[in-house]
Amino acid sequence: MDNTNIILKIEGLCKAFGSNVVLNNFNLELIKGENIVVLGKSGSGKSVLIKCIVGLLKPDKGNIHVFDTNMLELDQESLDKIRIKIGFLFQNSALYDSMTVRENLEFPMRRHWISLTSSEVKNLVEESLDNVGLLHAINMMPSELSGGMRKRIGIARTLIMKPKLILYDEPTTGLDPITSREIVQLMLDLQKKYHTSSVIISHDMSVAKLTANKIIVLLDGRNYAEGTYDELKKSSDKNINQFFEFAS
Amino acid sequence: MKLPKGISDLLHETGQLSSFVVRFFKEGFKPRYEWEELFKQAFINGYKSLPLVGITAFIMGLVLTVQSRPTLAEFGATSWLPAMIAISIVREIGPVITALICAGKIGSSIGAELGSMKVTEQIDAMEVSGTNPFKFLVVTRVLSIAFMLPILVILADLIAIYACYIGVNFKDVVSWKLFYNKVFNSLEYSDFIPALVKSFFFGLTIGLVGCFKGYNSQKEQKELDMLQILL
Repeated sequence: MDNTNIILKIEGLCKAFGSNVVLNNFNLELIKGENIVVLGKSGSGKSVLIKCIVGLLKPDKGNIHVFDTNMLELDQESLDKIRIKIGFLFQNSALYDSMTVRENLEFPMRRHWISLTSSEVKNLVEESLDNVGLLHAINMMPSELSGGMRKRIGIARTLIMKPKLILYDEPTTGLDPITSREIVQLMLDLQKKYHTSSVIISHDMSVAKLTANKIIVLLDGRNYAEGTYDELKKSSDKNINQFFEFAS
Repeated sequence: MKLPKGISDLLHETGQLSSFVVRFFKEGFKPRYEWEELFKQAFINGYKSLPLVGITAFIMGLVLTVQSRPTLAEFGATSWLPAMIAISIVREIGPVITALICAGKIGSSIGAELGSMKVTEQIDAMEVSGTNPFKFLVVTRVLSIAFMLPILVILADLIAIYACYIGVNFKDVVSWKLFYNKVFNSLEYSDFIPALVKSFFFGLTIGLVGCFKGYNSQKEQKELDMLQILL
């Protein structure tokens, strides 16, 4: 495999909180343009995994290479530079409550692309909101938005810095099935438009079915199984089957 | 030997607070400086606290004057009233009362705000967007309170002294010019300066404790919502 095509490579990742081992020799390789869904039950360490990727948590052992850079060897300044190229959609969108939607989207740009003029910033914000169909919400406060709208604004904020890698933490949690479907479709449309690669953390099989090029089942902190949706569906392993049974 | 839980918790929190304070001084002097956020917080913490501080200072000056007058009148010393009230307000009561109000209003609202941001992952979101949340949220808030509190104290002192003038005129007739001369002839720089320096450190302490509690919050979101409603 050509190394330049590898966006994210995780080798032997271990993370424990006291005696509670969350990740135990976890491995992952994400190719350009690919979507990997990490499936796992609640508390299986999925969120810990993506927090390790982006440097919010420090793993005990292992390596994380993003765009061929070892994330664990970076100083704060270099880490911040890499983070700009990584989009992160939080489970609850994590919109800044004290800012309007416009200010939420402007926030990362004003800090990192300081050479942009006000009209360029305005255009980018409007383009981003238009992408998620919420241009009319530009002056609203996060408290005025519904769950689905917050997710969409979260996606818009994630995409505004034009990241090459996007990490989605449970993108459809707390949403009704119709809104979930809309969010998944939006993720796919925007991936096509901006040519991004994604790691999607979820326990929602419909998300996995629609988005995944590859699924990794995370169990006991390690890669329990890997494959496409159809391959895993055919599996006779009861730990894998339970995801499909509850989904159906 | 194992320490009792209460003592070990206290020592643990003291250690955490100490490292938080050290981090504040380390990060506070390093660029990039968040001027825009600093001024925004100065407006929120200073200007928006003025009505509460002003009303309290007015009542404080008035009540102190009205309550002190009968005792001084027994000795025929009511003419000392302006000087006595001014000195006690400027030296001690003004800074302490203003700091207490700000601790209640600003300290707790900062704690609740940062706690809410922590629980809803807004602080993490700031960090992954390549912004240092400690510098952006903590340093700006602490410095804004530290610099605004002395200004609030000066304003509170002036309002309290004016209230004293009104209180004095309840029973006596004293011109503003005479009152002004009595007050400012009795005050010296050595009354003002230590009070303002003290206010700066009161502000620093209020900001640091409020931010520490919020930034290291582990509370449930609904508890924080309740706290914000109560505030």
